[in-house]
Amino acid sequence: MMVIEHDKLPTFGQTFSAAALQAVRMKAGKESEGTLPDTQARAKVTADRAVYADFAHLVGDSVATHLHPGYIHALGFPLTMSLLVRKDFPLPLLGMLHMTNRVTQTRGIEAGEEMEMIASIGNARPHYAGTLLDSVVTVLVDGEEVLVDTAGYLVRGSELGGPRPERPEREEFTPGIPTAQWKLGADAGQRYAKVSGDANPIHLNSLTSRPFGFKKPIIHGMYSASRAYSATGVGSNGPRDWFVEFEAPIALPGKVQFATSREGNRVSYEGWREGRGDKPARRHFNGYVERG
Amino acid sequence: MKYPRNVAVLGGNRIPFARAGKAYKNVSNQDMLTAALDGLVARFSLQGELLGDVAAGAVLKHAKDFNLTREAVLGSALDSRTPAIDIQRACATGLDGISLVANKIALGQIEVGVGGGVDSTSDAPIEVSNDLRALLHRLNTAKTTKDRLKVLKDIRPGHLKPSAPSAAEVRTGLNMGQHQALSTERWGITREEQDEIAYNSHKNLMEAYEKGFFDDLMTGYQGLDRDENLRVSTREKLASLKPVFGGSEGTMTAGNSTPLSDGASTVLIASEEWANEHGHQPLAYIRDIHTRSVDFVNGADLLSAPAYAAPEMLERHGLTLDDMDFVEIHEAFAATVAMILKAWEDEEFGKNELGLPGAFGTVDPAKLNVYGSSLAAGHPFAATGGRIVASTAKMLYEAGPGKLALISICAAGGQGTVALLESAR
Repeated sequence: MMVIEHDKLPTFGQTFSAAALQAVRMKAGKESEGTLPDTQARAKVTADRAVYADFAHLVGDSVATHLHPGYIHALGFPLTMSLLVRKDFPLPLLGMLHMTNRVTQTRGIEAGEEMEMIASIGNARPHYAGTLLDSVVTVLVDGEEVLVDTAGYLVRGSELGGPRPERPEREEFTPGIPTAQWKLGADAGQRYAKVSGDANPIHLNSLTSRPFGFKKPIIHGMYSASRAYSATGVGSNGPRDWFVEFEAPIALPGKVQFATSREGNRVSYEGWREGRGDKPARRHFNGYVERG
Repeated sequence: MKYPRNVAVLGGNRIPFARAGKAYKNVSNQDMLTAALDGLVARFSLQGELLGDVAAGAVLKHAKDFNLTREAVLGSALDSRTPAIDIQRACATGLDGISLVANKIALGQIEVGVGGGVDSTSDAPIEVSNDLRALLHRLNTAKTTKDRLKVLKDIRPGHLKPSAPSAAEVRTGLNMGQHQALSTERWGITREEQDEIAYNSHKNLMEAYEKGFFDDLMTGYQGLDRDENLRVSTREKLASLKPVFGGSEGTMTAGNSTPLSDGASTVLIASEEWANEHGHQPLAYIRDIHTRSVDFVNGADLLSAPAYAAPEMLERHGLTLDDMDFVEIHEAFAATVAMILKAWEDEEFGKNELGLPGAFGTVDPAKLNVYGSSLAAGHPFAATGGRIVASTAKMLYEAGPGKLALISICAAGGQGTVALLESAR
């Protein structure tokens, strides 16, 4: 296994330009799908209180003693990116789709605590549309593992994960009664980019999103997930299991119907687009937060 | 005059107070109040608990924060069906929030509640000018593009200058410091007297921290674990500061006036039955709370209302200053404390203003602000009441059965709220 230590987190700009070069390189080269390299990227990270306060406010949380896990995901994201754009990584980063995200924490992490983050990519497996892989960020505090963040990405068209299964029937979605409505402005993506550091052009405006196949910018999946987390009201001060599945992107500006439901220690949530005319309602995301 | 039921202070929680623009510059009133409340919830195992009411407020409040306290409750670990009310009586807000909840408990309307307050000077609201606001409202009601353009044509660069809140009295145009400077001169309060009060405030608060007195009254926030304004103060340093109010000959400095601050505090109040059922030992009973105002527009000392309110309240109970074991006078300015003490010792004031045969009485310096007060801790306006009540309740409990404390808080608008607490030990 190779371990790459970063003294400082790579910036989004650095990794994104590397991704662009990678895309060019892969277009020029042959379809060379090998295996996923066994590489780890590590860095020590501490929250920036001012940025964190803006993050919490933007995703509808109040600034408490413990960090919102969505912010911890955002902190670890550049580390993941640094692995995905390395020359030995066989798949293109551009066009990868964030399908699921799961964070399990054994306790809350305080804003002042130094986190050691370890990022890795693995678990390639087939999907009807390509290959799924997991990007895992493990967070240690004082040498003890306290949080694991697993993002599931889809690389469309890739056979690396093995033979692809048939596409399953899409489940019929019948929306329930919304408990809230989100109104997302045209600049919602820019705002989240500022607090999360994820300035992927598909989220910024229609000029930057168009080359990537989106007529309108779409909001970051982790914005929706983080805002949903806040809305469950369970806080971040203890053991939590947080899951989200992204189903359809939310174009900006946009309106999202949102609902939570409580059952014991678990609060489930989903967000959807209302049906209009003969267009059926479409679910954007669903998931849950559970107290440990 | 007795409450129909005993009202017990079970404890409190506050976050350390920060200096304006420093440790809490990134956070809002709602963040701070939620943090203080959640600390209280954790200390008293109130997770998922349905309380009778939560009364708090902020003096400097954004228009969007009209339901600030309810929002903080919703963001806390309390049962989200817990009701909440926003109140505001300037610097007495916290004490009056406690009063509102205490009265409900005394009357048997509720069994348990929280009183408190929060303020941020770092995130004080800034409004558009009156002229611009009028234009924007016109723009909102304009029906056609032509009408809208007409409105926009009327906007001048001068309209864009925002207006920040000031601590000036609407009717006199003078701010708190300027008002107090007039009173300081009228009462002949010296620089040395004021600096001594400031020196003691820091010294006493520092001792309280060193003793661990605040360990069960406070939860750290934003990396702060003690009041940011607290310092090892020396008389020499205090004496070297330049006056900030009352002109070049003034006696009021940045050292003997409270700094602009950010912070929040909460106090848990309950009936004895509720306290027993939940296994909490009451620290003190709230015996009375009383508010009085003075006609400062026609020359009364702006911050002197407690000098009237306290004698009125104590008389109801047949008590005098000599019966008090602790006297907590909020240090808006060191000169305010000196003025109130002087007024109580003054024969003329006692006769003419209080209708007494002579002076109201003298406060033994050993009983005054024994663990420091606002000059050292800072003064996030609405958070001060909760700070004083929780600390005083704990002091009374430690001091033993029957001990009494007087709390005095002056407020803008010539107002003052005072409270009488008795040890619950």
